[in-house]
Amino acid sequence: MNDLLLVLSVIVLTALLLLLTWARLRRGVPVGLRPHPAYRTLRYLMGRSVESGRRLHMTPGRGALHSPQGPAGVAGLLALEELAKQSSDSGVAPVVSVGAATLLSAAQGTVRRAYATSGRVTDFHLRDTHFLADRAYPFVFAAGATLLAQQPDVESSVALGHLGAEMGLLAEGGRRRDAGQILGSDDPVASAVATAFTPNAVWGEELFAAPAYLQRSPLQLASLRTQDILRWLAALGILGIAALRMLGILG
Amino acid sequence: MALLKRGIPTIVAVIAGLATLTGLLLLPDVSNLILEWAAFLATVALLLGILNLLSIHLRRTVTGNMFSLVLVAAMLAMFGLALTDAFGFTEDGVQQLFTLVQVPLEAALASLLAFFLLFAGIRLWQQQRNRWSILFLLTVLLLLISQSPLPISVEGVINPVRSFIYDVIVTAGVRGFLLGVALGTVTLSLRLLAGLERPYSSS
Repeated sequence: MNDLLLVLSVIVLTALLLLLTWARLRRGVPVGLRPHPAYRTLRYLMGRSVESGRRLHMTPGRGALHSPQGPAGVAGLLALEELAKQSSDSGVAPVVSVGAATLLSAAQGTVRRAYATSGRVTDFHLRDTHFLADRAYPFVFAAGATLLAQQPDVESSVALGHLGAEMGLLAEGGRRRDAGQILGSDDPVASAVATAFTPNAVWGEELFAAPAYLQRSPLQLASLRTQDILRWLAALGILGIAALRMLGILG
Repeated sequence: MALLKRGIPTIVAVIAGLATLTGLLLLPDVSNLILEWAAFLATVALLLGILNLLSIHLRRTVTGNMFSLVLVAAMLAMFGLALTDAFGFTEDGVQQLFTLVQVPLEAALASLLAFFLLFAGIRLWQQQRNRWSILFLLTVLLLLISQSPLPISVEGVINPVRSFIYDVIVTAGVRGFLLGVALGTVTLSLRLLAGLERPYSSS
């Protein structure tokens, strides 16, 4: 019963905070975003791809939609949507690779939607999205994604989603080509690996901030602000409980 | 028509999401049933994924791509072996081929990772000689030394430091990381549950 109450209170609190901050932002209250080198570089890479006419490789990872890693996959898809919108405007289609079967049709739908928004749905091709391996075979997926990212017509590589230690293979492939790359995951090991390879690493919760940095819609910004408030509440809660335990008030 | 196209998937997604959440909290049987449906759909998606892989590489085979030719041949061989297994001509062929080819290849790729990481660490040290890279290098050296056979007197000094790094610094960092991921997951899931975010929508 205690667990149920805890889960319900987190959901209700988050929903309330999200609604309040969303309403504030829709009224035009300005919100500042902390500068993030990876997302700034991502915008630069998107621009460079348009200028050079070479494609971006993007992977939302291998977080199957019906698994606990699904939200990381969805965060990757939201980043892909923005990237595909920019690409469709310029006529340079992104190459997408996925490492979970349920992400395949979702990624194809995301890219198609972006093309439809730009009124260029006829330029959309299903074959630009590649299913490389099932999520149980991370290194096979990484090897395939590395090969795709090394195609001559590919400018840079973006990996935002659920990936594990196999991130190292992808990162090493990008480094050898001296290509720009953005690497982000919800996995601590993958994030640590990414940091060793690139200054443009996206760590854990920052992955979920991708839509806010790229789309900047009031909803995304409100969601990011809610995440910030919740983090402060969690930190204060942990400190409070630790202090109470030290004082012997809490068992 | 456009409203229907956009509205129906959203309504289905919101109802399914809320039912799963309610089920997880109050009625486990309902959420288990929906998760079973999801698992079935995932299997169908896997079939689509394999067809996607096959169609892309068949097209490339026509243009003379040798890697694609090997992939298509391997897929067909595996499928053939699965059929001969099913009809009793061979026994456990798929599993044996998998164990002989796939497992060593994955293991080889995983072991390469250690070298890539080591070189990445050295490059990090060469490119950014700041206090963080010094800390990074010192930690790596300390942990590598602590894993090697050492005299008991040295072990007595190093082991408490290693335990402190693992149990306090790493554990605290990973917990903080996972807490942040959990908060991101909650906010994104709420947006999905409310139908505010629609990655499944076609328009």
